Amino acid sequence: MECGWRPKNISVEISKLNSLRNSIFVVISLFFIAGELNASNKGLMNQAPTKEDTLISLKGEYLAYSYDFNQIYGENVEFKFSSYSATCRHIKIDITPKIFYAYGDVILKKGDEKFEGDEFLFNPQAKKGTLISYREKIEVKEMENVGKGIPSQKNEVPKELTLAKIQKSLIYFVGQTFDITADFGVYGYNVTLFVEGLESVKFKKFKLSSGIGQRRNGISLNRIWYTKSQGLIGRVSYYYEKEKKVNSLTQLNYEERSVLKNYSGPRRQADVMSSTTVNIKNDLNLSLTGNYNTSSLWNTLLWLNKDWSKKFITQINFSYNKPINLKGEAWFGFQSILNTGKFGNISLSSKYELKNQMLANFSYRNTFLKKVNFLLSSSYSQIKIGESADYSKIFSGGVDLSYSSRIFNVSTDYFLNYDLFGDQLLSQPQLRLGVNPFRFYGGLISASIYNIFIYNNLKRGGIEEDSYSNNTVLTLSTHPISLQEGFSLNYNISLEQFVEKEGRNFTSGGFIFNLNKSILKGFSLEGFYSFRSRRKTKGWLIEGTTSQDLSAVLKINPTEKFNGWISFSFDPKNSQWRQSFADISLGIIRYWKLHSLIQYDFLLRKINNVDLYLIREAGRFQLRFIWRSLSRQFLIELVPR
Amino acid sequence: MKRYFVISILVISLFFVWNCISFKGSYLLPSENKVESIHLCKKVDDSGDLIKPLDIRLEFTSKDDHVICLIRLKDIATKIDLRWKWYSPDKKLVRDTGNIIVSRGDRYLAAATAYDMFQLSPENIVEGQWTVVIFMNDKFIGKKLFQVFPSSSKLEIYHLI
Repeated sequence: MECGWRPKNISVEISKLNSLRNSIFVVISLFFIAGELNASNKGLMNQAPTKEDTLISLKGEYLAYSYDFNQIYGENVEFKFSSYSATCRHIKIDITPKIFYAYGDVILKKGDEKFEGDEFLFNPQAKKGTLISYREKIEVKEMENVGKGIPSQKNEVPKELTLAKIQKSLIYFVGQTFDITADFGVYGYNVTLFVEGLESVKFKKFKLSSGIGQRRNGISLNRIWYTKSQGLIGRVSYYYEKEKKVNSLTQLNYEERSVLKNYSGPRRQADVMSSTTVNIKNDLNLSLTGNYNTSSLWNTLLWLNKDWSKKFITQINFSYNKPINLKGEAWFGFQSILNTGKFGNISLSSKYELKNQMLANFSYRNTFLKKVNFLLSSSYSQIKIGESADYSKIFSGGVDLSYSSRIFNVSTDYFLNYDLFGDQLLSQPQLRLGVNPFRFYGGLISASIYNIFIYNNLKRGGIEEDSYSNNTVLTLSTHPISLQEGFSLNYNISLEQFVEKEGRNFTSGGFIFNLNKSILKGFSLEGFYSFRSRRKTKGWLIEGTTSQDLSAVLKINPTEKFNGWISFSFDPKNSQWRQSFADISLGIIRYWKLHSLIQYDFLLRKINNVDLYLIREAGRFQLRFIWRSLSRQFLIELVPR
Repeated sequence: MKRYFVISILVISLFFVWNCISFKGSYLLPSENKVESIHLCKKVDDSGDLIKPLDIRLEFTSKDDHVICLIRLKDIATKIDLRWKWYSPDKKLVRDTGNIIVSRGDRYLAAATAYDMFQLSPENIVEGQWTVVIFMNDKFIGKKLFQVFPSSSKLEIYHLI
């Protein structure tokens, strides 16, 4: 039975609870259950790892394991390394990056053989280690596989692992015997649990961390659950793996809804999903996936991949898809990718369906003279139109050529779409020309110009239509100009002219001013003013719109523990304040912080929403107590990070 | 209803943990951890009771006069000797302070700081990775690695920043 627990996004919604105390009980209860499920990963209660499962066993005068950070600190520790018995004054283990570091009077013994050093960096999985002594020289001795050990002097020491950090964890355990398993799970014996630094209960044996998830061959009952909306839910999976040969996973999801009151849909539903990959050779593999749903929907895909070389890959496949209430479709496909290096990349794919449907794609991409990019693509599709005997036949193709230099960039496209069924041909050449931003006035002002011209030609049943459009955009912006100490200004101006054959031309322009003023240490005010006007011209008629926006942000950052911002927006056209938002974070004690999001509406003269968070940062996860005023909800969340 | 839900969860929790929890036990304490921090810096502030590092860094240039290795210890109730050993990039010992008495153990100190200054005089400047190792009562307690760059390349780095 697979019940291993790792931090998942657990959210508990508690509405109308009598007091916060009840909710805290729920969290602690959930934690214990989760922990116990953890302990029961290999059996029902606290089954210790077997000798074969144990990667390293630590015995020390003092050992501490932080659940938050997945780290171990130990004093006066004994352990086994390869065929050596080892002792040291201190040990630091960072489980996630798999760093093992022993230091202070390190002694390795095997029979009469004895090695002494000051530091020992080791990898118990690979049975390699480096023993370092600081004498008249730095002496480095590679243990086992000489010359292949972890290189010394490469900052392999766990950088941020101290006892003080472990003791500040939300959850940590203290004991004298810890086992680390081959999958980097951690077991503790006679361990004391500390919650927020307070000593609590003691466990005889406890699985402190579930380690890296490893599936085992066989059937697993993953989940049996009941919800008011879905009824009784069951999830079973079958996994089979033969190393480097076969990998197969089949999952069954079952929902029994007949137990629900007033449920009008199907009384039960089952889904089966299966995926199998067989590696026939290193460069040849066969895969099969299949999905089946009791609502008469199923599909399957079989494909064979062959890597002829690193640059040439081909795949042939067969798929069958049966949608709900529609006839199934069987497709045969072929795909090939060829990377010829300096001669470019070629990609080719095609699919044929038994009812004479087909899809084909071809593309060629290359870069010439380092700066000229070329792309040629074409596709053909022949798809049945509904249940009729007619087919939609579309051919499309395109050529793209672009060049970019330090000063300007130019790109030209030609796109062709030929609808053979509707007898319609669209050709669309484009020309894009841009000047890269350039600076003048000693780099104070930067300017850029961009132009795009599009021409369309449409031929439909002997009628030919053509149209064109041109759009030019000019922008000017400044670097922040310092007016006095702690006071700066920068602005951005843009102008756009759009012209088209039909005469729906328009001109638009605008500017943005941005002011920054430092008020006190850690407090600064930022103001924005934007003005934009869009004028449409057609013959003698000029019409348009104008918009203005004024906003200010007060940034607060006086200390690491206190920071946030408050924004205000103002409508200058109607001389009216609109809205205000505040996002404030305040560190309280240890790793606890209070965070609030507030929105105030000046028009309605009321606070629209308040979200209050009490957050505990705990390394691998975050514990959050949340109050949302809008939905009147109190939530407790356990969020993995 | 909610109350029953909470009680049920607590009962189930207790059922699961029945065999493996106890509420008594001896309290284990770390015995030897005295090191609070080790910093490399260019200057120190010795105006207060405890010396504070200023301009903490792991990179120095051949124009820097010296490197300071400052250690902060806590909960000191016994005799404590400290010893700094400085090693050049070719792993040779270039400075050994010998044992320096920090505490005679005659009174309790909640915290203590001590440092050693290594002169980067022109004749012993070797660019590369240096190592400083600290021993307490002849036991290794920590080390720091730092880089010494030629002054010109360091200036280029500052310019890029």
